[in-house]
Amino acid sequence: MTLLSLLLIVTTLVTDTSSTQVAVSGQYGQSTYALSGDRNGGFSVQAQSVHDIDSVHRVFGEASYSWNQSHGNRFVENADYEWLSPYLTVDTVGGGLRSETYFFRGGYRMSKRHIVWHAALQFRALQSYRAVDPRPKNKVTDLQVEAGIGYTNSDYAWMAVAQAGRYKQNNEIKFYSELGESQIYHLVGPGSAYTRFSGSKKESYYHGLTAGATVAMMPRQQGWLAQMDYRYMRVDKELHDNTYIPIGRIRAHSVEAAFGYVQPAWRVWAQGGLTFRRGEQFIYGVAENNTYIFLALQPNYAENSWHVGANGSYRLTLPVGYMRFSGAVLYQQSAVYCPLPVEERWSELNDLLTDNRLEANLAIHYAFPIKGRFCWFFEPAADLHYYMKTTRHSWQVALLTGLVF
Amino acid sequence: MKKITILLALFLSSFAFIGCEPKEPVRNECTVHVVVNLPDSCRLAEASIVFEDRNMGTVTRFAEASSVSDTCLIFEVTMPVGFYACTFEAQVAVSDEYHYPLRAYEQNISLTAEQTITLQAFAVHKTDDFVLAEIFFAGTQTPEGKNYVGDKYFVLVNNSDEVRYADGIVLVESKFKNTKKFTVRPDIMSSAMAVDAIYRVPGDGSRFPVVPGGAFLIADNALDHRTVNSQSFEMSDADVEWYDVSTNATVTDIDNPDVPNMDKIYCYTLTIWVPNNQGNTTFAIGRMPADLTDEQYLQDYRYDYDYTNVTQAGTFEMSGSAYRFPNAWIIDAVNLCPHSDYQWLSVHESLDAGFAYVGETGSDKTRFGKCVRRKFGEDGKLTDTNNSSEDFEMAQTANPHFFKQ
Repeated sequence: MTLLSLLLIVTTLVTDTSSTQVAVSGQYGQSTYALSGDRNGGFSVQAQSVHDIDSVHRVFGEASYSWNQSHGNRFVENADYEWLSPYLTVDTVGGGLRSETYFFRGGYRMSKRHIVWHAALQFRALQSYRAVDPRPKNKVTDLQVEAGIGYTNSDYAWMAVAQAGRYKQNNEIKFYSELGESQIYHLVGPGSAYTRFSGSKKESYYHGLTAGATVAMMPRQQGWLAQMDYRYMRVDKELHDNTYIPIGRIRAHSVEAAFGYVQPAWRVWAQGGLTFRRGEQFIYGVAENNTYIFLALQPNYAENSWHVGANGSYRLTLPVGYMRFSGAVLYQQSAVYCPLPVEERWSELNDLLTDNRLEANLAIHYAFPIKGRFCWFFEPAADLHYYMKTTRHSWQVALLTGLVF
Repeated sequence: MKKITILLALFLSSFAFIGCEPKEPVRNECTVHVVVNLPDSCRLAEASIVFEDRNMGTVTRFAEASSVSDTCLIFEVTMPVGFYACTFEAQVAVSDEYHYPLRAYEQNISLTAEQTITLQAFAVHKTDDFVLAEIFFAGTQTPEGKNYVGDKYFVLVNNSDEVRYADGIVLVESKFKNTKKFTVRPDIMSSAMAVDAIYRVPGDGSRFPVVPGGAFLIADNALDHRTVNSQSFEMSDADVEWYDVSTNATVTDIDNPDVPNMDKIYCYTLTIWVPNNQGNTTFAIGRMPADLTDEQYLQDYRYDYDYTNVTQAGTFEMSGSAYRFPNAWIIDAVNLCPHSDYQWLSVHESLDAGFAYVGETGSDKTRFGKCVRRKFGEDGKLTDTNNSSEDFEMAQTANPHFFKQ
């Protein structure tokens, strides 16, 4: 969950009116940082609604479906690879992936006098697959529950939100060619595969927990904006053979903060964060009777990263409707330590996974009334990523349009 | 304003962590005392021990012994917790010109705490007999990309200085696969090899003379396979072929009446014997006692065993049967195992302490048309240190006439 989406959630809780938005979007992008493909395109349909039952009770919900086709993916055969790195399933063949994502979120908020509390449930299901060898099929389920309590007055809303979740990904690779298969590898470092399980282990399973807490302060109209956010994630990777074989565990702690100022016409804020990721490798002894004898959990990966960013938006009221210009820049830098030697086969992948990144995005939102309470809007947006060490880049353009009522 | 100041302080304090250098993961290590008992008081040169990490494939060599005596060497080393194979390598200097190798092996070392490992070194003398020089088990592909079987072969080479007769040489395939280790009861490995395919070169002792360095070709089907598959070989000049009378009319063997058939003593299949095309098994050649009839062998050398099979569905007690082929009868044995699928050696380490391969995995699509071929030593003879990992060239282009040229 990004800091921006958290801000939107808090906004949902403290906005004063019911509203519904339905929208479609399309996007296209190219990249020389090809872990997610050198080209991709797709579309999504989405709906979200905030409904006040009365002045105290509010329900809100959101649903979306996204479809994406990428081409030229290299190395990584997982979905959500940034979460799971370095315990990834990789190969040297790659190829485009088609992915479909279903997202649902719903909740309830009660506001009485100055106290606001809410509970929400969020679910993301994703499947990504390829129709030629090697044929990965990734099925992701990501469930999160959250609850929060806050205090509001005429000037500010103060919120504290706690979140917990369960994450799973089935990662299965099949080959239909009768002539044989290319190799499948399971990384235990950004440039190192678990040699003992390289080759024929084609089915793996990731499962883990997420937890987090947020405190935020938002002005009702204008004033200071501040937010602190903590996230924890732990995911284990297991191989499926005749028995289950856990091979890696990643644990991540991240702290993020934002601070800014909001006016009715504009808002600016700066953000910064730290992420500590620690990985451990399951070490096995002799294998017999289909059982690998577990010896130890060996620390083998440490990554400290930080990022800083600046965001701003400006709302221009027009004779008919309004325009909102928004932009953001973010820089992320990581330092990775792994005692395992980088294999030549994975040296490029190692460089890509440990790169530093500069991001910039720009969006222009234009909305105007069409009839009654119906507003039509459209929002072109552009996103650019530049990877500092490998000098790779990727860009994406998107167009979102829909109705608000 | 005070609350805002607190939040701002929290925000800024989070950046205090930025700049902290990540610490390298601290791997757990332990001390190993390797005691190598020498066979006799001897003058050693170039003594070293090699630890191969069987999980990650990395190799670490230690050439400095902490203690040296006439009867043993002691190495004291520190290694990360893990699972290792340890090999002792040395040369015994008989004179300034003549050296012979000394070896000791321990394949399964689970290292979790300080421990002492005792190895018994033995001299590796050159075999003065036939050796398995080339094994082609993977089959070929047709130009249309289809699998082609029937052109598998074994090449024996007379590695002695005098004419040897191939008459009576027995070719066996192991019952157990080197890719799957089971704890079998009783364990006969120290005295015999469990086999389930046994074929013998016919002859009265003078039918198949092979000159020193000469080759003896054993073919599945002694045909010119190029007539049906241009990517296969001419093998109608094979010295012998194996022929099976099938009980299934749809799966039959082809007999070349101009090439003698091997005597079939036993084979597990009721159709035709096709050596494992993934290279998971061990092949050996040997000689049975002259006064032992086939019937007597089949009666006296049956091997019934039990083992435990652990699966996701539960743990099952299983049983199986094969035939014992005593180690004392074996002239040469070659373990085959896809490189990354290795679990154990299905013959005793004194017969073969390593394994040869043509593919990374059993289903490696690059394995077709490839064989394992024994290396030539400095003396012009074929290398035979009873360690196929060192003695063989892996994944060579198959040529049944390579050693006849």
